[in-house]
This record gives sequence, C-alpha cells and structure tokens, in this order.
Amino acid sequence: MDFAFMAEAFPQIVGAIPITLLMVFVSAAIGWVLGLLFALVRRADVQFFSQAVAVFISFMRSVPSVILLYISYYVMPAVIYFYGQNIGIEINVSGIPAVVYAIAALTLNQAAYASEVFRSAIAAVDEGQFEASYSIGMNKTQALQKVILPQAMATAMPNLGGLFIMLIKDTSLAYYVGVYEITATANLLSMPTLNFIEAYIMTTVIYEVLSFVFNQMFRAEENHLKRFRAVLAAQV
Amino acid sequence: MEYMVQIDHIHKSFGDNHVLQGVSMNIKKGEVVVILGPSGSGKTTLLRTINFLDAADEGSITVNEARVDAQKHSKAQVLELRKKTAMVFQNYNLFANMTILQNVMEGLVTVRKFKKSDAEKMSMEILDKVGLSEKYHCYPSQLSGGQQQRAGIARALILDPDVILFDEPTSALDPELVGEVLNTIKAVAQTGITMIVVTHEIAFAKEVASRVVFMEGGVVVEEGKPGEILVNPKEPRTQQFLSRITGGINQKSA
Ligand SMILES: Nc1ncnc2c1ncn2[C@@H]1O[C@H](COP(=O)(O)OP(=O)(O)O)[C@@H](O)[C@H]1O
Ligand SMILES: [Mg+2]
Repeated sequence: MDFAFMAEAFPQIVGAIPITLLMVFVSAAIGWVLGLLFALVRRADVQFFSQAVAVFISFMRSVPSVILLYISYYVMPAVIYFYGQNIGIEINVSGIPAVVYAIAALTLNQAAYASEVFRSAIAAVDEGQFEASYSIGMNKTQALQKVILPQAMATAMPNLGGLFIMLIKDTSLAYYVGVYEITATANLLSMPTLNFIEAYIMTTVIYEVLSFVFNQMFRAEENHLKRFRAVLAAQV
Repeated sequence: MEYMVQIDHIHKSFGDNHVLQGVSMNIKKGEVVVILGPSGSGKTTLLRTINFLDAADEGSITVNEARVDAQKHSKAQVLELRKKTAMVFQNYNLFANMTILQNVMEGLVTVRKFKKSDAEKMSMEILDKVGLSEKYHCYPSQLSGGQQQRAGIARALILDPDVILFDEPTSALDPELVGEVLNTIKAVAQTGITMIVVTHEIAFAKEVASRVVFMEGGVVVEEGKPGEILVNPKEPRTQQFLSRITGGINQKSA
C-alpha cells in the first residue's frame, strides 16, 4: 500500500466531488421534472404524446448507459450545430464542455426511470382522493397539486432515493467522454505509478460516503412526507 | 326557480350495463330525499351523475339554476355545478395528506379563494359543531371512522352548498359509531339545507326524510312520504326490499 501516494492523491480526488455532484444535481432536477411530466402525460392518455413517451421509456431502459453517453457526445454536437445553422446562428460546438453531454445523457436516463416511479406512485393513490377533490370543486391541476402528488411523493421517495444513488454511480461513466469527475481523476493520478488498487480504494470510500449521506437525506425526507400515515398510536 | 335540484331523464351505461334508465326527480329547497334500493340498483351512480363525477350519457342536471346537459357541456359548467354541490362518501375520502382542519379549509382556500385566516376560523367553528374540537391537527389516519365521517360532513358543509349528496354515509362504520354520524346528519338536516341521502337506515329515514325514493334496476320504482313508502309501500318490489332489510318486523303493525 503506497500511503504517500494516497496522501497526495486523496485531496485531488476529493476535489473532483463538485463536478460529480454538479452532474448529479442537474440531471436529477431536470430528469425528475421531466419524469413527472411524462408520467402525467401517460396518465392523461394524451394522443400521440402518450405513445411517444412509452416508446422513449422502453428505449431508455434497454440502451446501455455508456452507449447513451456516446450518442449524446458524438451525435448531439452535430444536431446542435445544424439546428444553429437552421436558425441562422454559427454555434461553436467544440466550445461546449463534455460535461454538458454527460448531463444530457444522465438526465434522459433519469427521466425515463423517474417517470415509471411517478407513474406507479400516482397509480397507488386511492381514486377516492381524486373524487373528493373534484367534489369540492377543484379542477384537475388543483387536485394533483394539493392532494394527489403530495401523497404520491411519499410513496415515490424510497425509489427516487434508489435512483439518486444509481445516478451518483453512473456519473463515473462521464469518464468515457473525458469529464474529470471522481473516477477519472483517481484513474489518471494512479497511472504513472500504477497505484490502481489505492486509487480504487479511495474512490470506493468516496462513493460509499456520498451514498450514505444522500441515503440518510432521502430517508429523512421520506419520513417527513409520510408523517400523515401515522397509525393510530395508542391514542386512548 | 321553483326547484333546487332537477334531475331530468338521466341515462348512464357502463359498457353494456344500462345502469340508469331514465331517472327524473325534482327536489325543492330544504327537502331531505332518502334513496333506498338494493345493492347494484344504481344509487351511487345516480349521486355521482348529479355532480358529474360520472358524466351521464343522456339527460340534464340542474342545481340552483346551474344546468348541465349530459351531451353538451363545458368544463366550466361542470365546475360551476360542483361548486353548488358537495358530497359525503361511503369511505369518507378525507384528504390523507392533510390534517382534519386542512381538509375542511381546503375548499375555501383553494376553490373559493378565501383568506387563510378566515378559512381557518370558519373551519374551526364547523369542526366544533360536529364535535371535533380536539382533533383539528390530527391526520385522518389517526381518527375513528365516525370521526372521519363527521369531518367529511364538515368538509361538505363549509362550502355552503345548495345540495349535499350522502352516499351510504354510515355503511362503512362499526355499528357503535353509526349513531354519532346519524345524529350529525340529522342536525345538518334541521338547518334546512337540501339533502339527498342514500342509506339503509330506515329509522333515520322515517325521522328526517321529507321524501323517500325506492330505486331498483336503474329506475325509480316508487316514491312518496316516508309514512307511505316505509309503512305502506304499494309496489311488491318495495315491500320485498323493506322486509328484507328490516327482517320482516317493520310492516303495518308498528
Ligand atoms: N365505474 C364503473 N364501471 C363499471 N360499472 C360500474 C361502475 N360503477 C358502477 N358500475 C355498475 O353499475 C351498477 C350500479 O352500481 P351502483 O350505482 O354502485 O349501485 P348501488 O350504489 O345502488 O349499489 C352495478 O352493476 C355496478 O357494477
Ligand atoms: Mg352504492
């Protein structure tokens, strides 16, 4: 065990945590909002869009994340470039950092999985909750916002937590397109001296710590959201 | 307008199942109409077509001059109709994510755009009336069925609807809790609000109904004063139904 190497490399690997978290937070934030929209579109059975979303989700679930990343990295620049030309702007595609493509791929991936999570969580809310909302004069948006989604969120939270942890690990794939996140940094530092074992031990520890911390946060949020499910607690 | 609620030739099918086969009813302000009938006769469906939780296939519903035609209506008309009606459900259907107080306030705040502080004050007053002063901040899951149903009644009452629809409000309750809910409903009836109540509680119907309607097979078989329908029904089907649910002890003797 090369402790001198570890002591020197560790701070640099830790220094890559922000770029990893940037990918995580942006992909989860946009991906989950999209996922919720997809779930609502499918539920409402909107002509064409419902089918499009269903096809998208099944595609996303079968394509390996690495391939998705490559598609994003190699295909999107061309798409952006030609779109720019179309509307009369010369876009300097090579100026777009690789992390953007990584985030795009991770976001779509999250959107697909999150939409399934939201779909089943909404389906698990009793139909009577909708009916009661309508019976007091709410429209559909109000019913979703005030009654249905708060309940669905409590159900969705454990699965969203799982998706989030998966996302943290998936950011390591950004290495393939040259993003210096945690795994890439550790690997590159270890190459000159071939200290791979040390590097992998350190990355594992960092991912474990991140997972643990976020897991706790999701637990806390879940407990907060489902407080209304408090069972008749010796209320005599 | 002469009538508070006009149900006009309502038809409703689920697939091949022609559940409501032309039901009509005119209800005056302050009337308490009790609907009786065997399970599956379309009582729930009729109530649900009144506030368009189920859209009827044919006919029209008018509540205090808000008329909605089954075949030709807008979303806005349906919302307007729903604002004039309120419903009390068999399974209470309180909003599970809200406290009892929030349940009652919700319609005032979100639908009627009341100020929160006003809504809260009014809601507390109504909850006091139905005997839930101690439970403002409890979630539905922390209450007994009877308490939940009284909260459901408060949630309906607060909106000052033109008609309240009750769908078997006591049939999911443990027997010892039925009385408290029936008493609450009686108190509501005495305020002069128009009510349509589906129930099998015959004693309750005798006491508070201004009219009893017997339904079977998606049509109104017979209707009249409780003293007629419940004591001296003309139709054999009504007689059979009554003797079944009262165990045959009800007839003319009493
Ligand atoms: N949403 C629905 N879909 C299909 N069939 C239904 C639905 N709601 C009610 N029905 C059918 O309509 C008939 C009348 O039901 P309902 O109105 O609930 O009767 P009741 O309340 O008198 O017991 C039953 O045959 C029932 O199966
Ligand atoms: Mg019923």
